[in-house]
Amino acid sequence: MFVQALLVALFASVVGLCEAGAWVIQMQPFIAESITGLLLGEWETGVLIAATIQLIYMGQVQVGGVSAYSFNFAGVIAPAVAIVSNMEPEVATTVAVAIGTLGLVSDNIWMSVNAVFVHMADKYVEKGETKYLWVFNWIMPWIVNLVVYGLPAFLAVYFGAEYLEGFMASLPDWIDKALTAIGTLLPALGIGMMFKVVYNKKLVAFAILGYIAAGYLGLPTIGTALLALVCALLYWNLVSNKNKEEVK
Amino acid sequence: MSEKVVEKKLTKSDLRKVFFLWETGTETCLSYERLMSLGFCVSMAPVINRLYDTKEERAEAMKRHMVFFNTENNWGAFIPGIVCSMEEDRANGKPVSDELINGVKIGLMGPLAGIGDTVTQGLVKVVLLAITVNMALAGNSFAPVIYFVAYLAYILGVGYFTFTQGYRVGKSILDKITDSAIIQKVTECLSVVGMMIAGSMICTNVEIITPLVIETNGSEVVINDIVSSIAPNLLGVVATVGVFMALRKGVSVFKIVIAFVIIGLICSLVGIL
Repeated sequence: MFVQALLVALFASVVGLCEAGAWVIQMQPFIAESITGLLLGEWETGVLIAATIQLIYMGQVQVGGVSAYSFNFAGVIAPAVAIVSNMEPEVATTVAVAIGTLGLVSDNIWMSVNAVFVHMADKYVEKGETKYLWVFNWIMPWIVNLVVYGLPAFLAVYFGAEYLEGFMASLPDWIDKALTAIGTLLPALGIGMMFKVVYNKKLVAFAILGYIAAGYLGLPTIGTALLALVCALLYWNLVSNKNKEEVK
Repeated sequence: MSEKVVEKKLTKSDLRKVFFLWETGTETCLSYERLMSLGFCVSMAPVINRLYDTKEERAEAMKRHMVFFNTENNWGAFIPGIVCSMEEDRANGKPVSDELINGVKIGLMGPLAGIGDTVTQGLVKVVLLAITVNMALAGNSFAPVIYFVAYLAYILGVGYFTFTQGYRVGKSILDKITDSAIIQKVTECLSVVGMMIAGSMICTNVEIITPLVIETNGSEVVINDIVSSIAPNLLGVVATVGVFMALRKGVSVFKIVIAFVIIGLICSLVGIL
């Protein structure tokens, strides 16, 4: 069981570390769970559990790195626990939902800590060195993965699901709350930096228009983009031409 | 110093490397702060190394690609494609400004993510899953393999197609635009799109909600309702504008992060966030 627990832990920590792999394996409980079954030597049970669990997550869409459940927890750890403790697929579903939601704590930590590596990479960017960027893009996040996904996976397979739930509950409440609070603030920095890049004093009205479109009118992204296209075309035809005539 | 000016050109293998890095590393260091920024920068590394020789030029190019970036990976591969051709033109002295490159990136990332998420996750994924999951439930344990192969082919196929198209489109458009007045005009129009998308993203990406509830004589006053009745997602607007002002004043990103950590910690303890 030790070797199997180790294998599952390793799988949980590397599954997200290749973009195409993440799309095909990690984001689909169906595939991630089947592979977990394979690692535990029970491919057929794994496939059955995977198919059952996938049904609840059928319509799940991940947008902007935000999802309603943790892929690694619902897709790797939950089925591992289910297979190890001989659960029926239906029971496994309940476990997957519970563990998948619980796992959002790990996702939160992962995406918050990654911001540190981006800042570390910034130092190499200042020097114009591309050589070591891979360390920050792959190795550092992987080390965090080992802690936030690998460790729970190992414990879950080795000791069973009850231990995992107990461990998660033993974390002080304020850590999760503080991380969530910081996590909600950080996007403001990202968008603020984006504004600095596109900022043009003459065009502030359009930023407000975009805000109105999304905030008051509730337009989806494509709707806002089309509206932006209309504005750009109008700007092209009306405003910029006028400048040109003045030049003439 | 008077070397003959040779036109800098990206080789096919450079482009293949960019695509490979894009397909492997764009979301491996996903962070709340800048999402795919590091991934984008990493995948542009072969291009930057080929086109720019001095450390200063390389640093400048890398900084361009370390800003906030987020898209859907497969349809969005169009963006690194077009950026490759823009960097190529810039390195050859054409008037391609920082603003133009970032304008293209920011203008395209939202719409392509919108299309990609709808088609990939809402259509292709669901249809493929519906077929193969039912096969698996009926006892066919080979079903995940079918799904895996089909979906992988879709992801890589669409990604490679949009990537090469992006490079081609960038070439054909930019080759025609040589007049710097037109470049200026294009840049401004792209800024219109960029500003609007950025404005809308305050609402869609920065969601700051306060759970604060004040009780007076048994009736509850939900503070967040009051705040958002003034303007939608007002707290997000305040935070974003605050960051923007601070950045314009030259406050370092690191200091803002530290400030956020302290604010987040205190506010969560007090119960404001």
